[in-house]
Amino acid sequence: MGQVSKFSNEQSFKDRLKSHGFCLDDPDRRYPTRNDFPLRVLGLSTKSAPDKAAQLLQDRKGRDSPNRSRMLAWLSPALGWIGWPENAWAHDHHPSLMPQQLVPMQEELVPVETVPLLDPIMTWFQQFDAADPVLSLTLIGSLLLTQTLALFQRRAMLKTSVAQIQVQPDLFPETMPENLRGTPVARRQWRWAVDAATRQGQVRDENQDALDVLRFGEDLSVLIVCDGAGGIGGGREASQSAVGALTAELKDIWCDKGKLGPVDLDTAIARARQVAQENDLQGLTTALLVLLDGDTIHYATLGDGAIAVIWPDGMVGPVQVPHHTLGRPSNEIGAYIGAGCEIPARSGTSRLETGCFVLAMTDGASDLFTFEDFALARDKTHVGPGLADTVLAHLEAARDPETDAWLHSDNMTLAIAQLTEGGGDDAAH
Amino acid sequence: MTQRIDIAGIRTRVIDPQFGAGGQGQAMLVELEDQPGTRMVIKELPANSATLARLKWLCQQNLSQLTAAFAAPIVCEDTGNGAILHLAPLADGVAQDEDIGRALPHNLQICLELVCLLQLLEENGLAHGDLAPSNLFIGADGSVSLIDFDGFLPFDLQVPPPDTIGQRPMLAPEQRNGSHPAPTRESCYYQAAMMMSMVARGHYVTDGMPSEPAAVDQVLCNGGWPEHIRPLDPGEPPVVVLGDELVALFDRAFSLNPSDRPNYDEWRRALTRALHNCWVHDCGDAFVADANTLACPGCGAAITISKATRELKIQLLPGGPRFGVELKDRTPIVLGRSTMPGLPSTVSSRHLEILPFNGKLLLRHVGSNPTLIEQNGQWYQLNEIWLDQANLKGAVQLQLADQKLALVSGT
Repeated sequence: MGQVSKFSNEQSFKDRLKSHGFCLDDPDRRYPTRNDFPLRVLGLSTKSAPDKAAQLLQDRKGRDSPNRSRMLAWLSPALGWIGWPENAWAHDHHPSLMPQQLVPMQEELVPVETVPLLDPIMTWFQQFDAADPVLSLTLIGSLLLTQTLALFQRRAMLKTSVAQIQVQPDLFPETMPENLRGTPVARRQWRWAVDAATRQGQVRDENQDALDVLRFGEDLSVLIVCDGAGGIGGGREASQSAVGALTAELKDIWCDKGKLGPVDLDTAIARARQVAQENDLQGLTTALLVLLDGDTIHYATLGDGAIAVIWPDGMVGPVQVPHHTLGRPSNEIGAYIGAGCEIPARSGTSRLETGCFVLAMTDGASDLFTFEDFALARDKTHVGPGLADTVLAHLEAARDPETDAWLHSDNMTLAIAQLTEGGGDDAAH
Repeated sequence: MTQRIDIAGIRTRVIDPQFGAGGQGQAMLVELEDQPGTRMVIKELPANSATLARLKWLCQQNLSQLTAAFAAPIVCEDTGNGAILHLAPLADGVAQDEDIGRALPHNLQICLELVCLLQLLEENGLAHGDLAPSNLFIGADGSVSLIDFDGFLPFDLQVPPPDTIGQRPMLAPEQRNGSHPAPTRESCYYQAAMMMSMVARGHYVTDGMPSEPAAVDQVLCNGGWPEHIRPLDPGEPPVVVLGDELVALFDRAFSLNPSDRPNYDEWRRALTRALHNCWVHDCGDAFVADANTLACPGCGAAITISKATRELKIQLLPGGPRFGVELKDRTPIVLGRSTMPGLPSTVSSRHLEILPFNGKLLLRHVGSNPTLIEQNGQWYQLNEIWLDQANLKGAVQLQLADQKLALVSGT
């Protein structure tokens, strides 16, 4: 009986397969492929230089449009003589951006005698007799002819360029149709679509985040997101206790008053701090409270995390300012619930528009969340059950392409809301 | 006087005007003027609108930007005097039929690299179309490059098809007998299998048999891998050295029914497994072992393949994907959404932990929703349980939340 030895594939072969996008050890795994040789060859091509020059020339020619010529021409009779010196070189000849050195005039140089620019012209005009009726008629005729030409040029310009602009039709008829007169106009209601989720992630042994969403009506909801501080014990208990106390307090206030306001958020935080003290909790927790009331949000925050608004035009507006200290590590927070902290919450109010998204998340999620990508996909995104968990699942699955390590380093929690109805009707306010 | 050629703005200096001649045109070895020492190949093809359209599309695919193994055209230009020029990188190595003889594992590596490249091409919307030993370059280190993409087969109906059908020795049966001469995706699978057979066995499939074209056609149009009926040369290893799986794939690849032929992905997975199960006997012969291998296929000596690795196979039920993981003592295996993609959200990221220890497995529930185990036809909630690996031969069924799966221990 002979001995057999197993053949082992060389690392160079594995690297070659990897450069083709495949993995020898895992047939299901794929790698990105890249070979920059063609780009280097094409970069050497001299063809690109004339192409670029031709493009620049074409751009410059594009500015010599008939409209532009006409616009400049009609100005010439009135302003051509005086001219706008800054416009004379503003178009194609940019002035030097470098500060010019002032050269002191040398004493031995004799200054050149300057001749007034208008003197020869005035001298030329003085040869005519202003009282001569023929001259007066000629001057008046010339002025009239010039102005008439200018009017024709202006008209041509308006026909070619300005006339292209469609006039916005009046969408609001001045008289109501007979069948609508006297009919009360129904007021549209605000509606918030809300979803929230939390994930432990792959790197933490327990989920120290806690969240709750309170819905008091279609136009009134509260998002509560807490992140128990890691590194010290009791973070999970602290966050869950805080969410419980905040929830209970806000519900109590709602039952008593039938409404919620920004002051109630501070009241709820005070209550949560009191509960933490009564139960002698050792852990600390951050807190993000967002009251969604019609088209207005009120917020109160302690510690870090993020509250952001994605506006209907895609602009991203960070709302919350974390309690960090400049120059200190970012994992140190200056305000929290627990340990007798009495620092007031940072709070505020903002008015939103239809289509706005409000996102409240713990730092584990906000560190990875790409607000701009979300904003780009805002038109295709509708808040509904599962959206928050799907977003967090993507964040959780993200790995470092170099080291293959998880990108996240903490628990992740996200509460997301969208103002889906209302707005555009001033009567609603 | 040195001849200079300017192609699409790239200035080149001709080094060898008679570098090679393919079936379609003349190739020249050139050097970039702006980067002396960088050698490339310019090929001149007769001008016609279809060729120009095909070449432009090919250049737009940026194949050589995917991997250096594709010596595909980068730019092309119609010279206006009846010729089309295209510029492509110079491939390393020599043509496959001029390459040195290599051992079986290295030949399998070449086959695997080849199918990886062909799969990459297919994913980018084309097949090479003219696969042949002269168009497959092997480097000194065994690296594979593909050249001469002029006869490529596009999978885009907007692109004109090739006006050639490939080289005669590589044609599929339906092209040989004229029933379907135009190249298809399946005829390209046949070309790839023919090429891999030549690489793995070191000779053309009908070597040693009558070489008249009609006789070759008759053999290849019979279906089946001709290696089964071809007489072995002295000292030549039998086909069983490739292992049962590869032999079965070759049998399917030479089938007369084009739809039977395995695609590149099947080849890639089979070749990957073959390379992981490749053994070398003391006598010097290498072979692909499987569960039935009890003797060296070369010398016939009895051998024992050490089953050093034990594997746990997890089959998602009823018809889901199958996962495999190596069993190592004291190294826990976690089942859940974090390790098995596609599980429903009711299954936790870490749902079930399996700890191999001394031939036994400790199964421990760590998820949120319960885990169930089936024993003697009855389902029980599982918190912790020890299982003998020997008992896993007949699968153990589990239910993680609402996802059923079966555990099978194997080698």
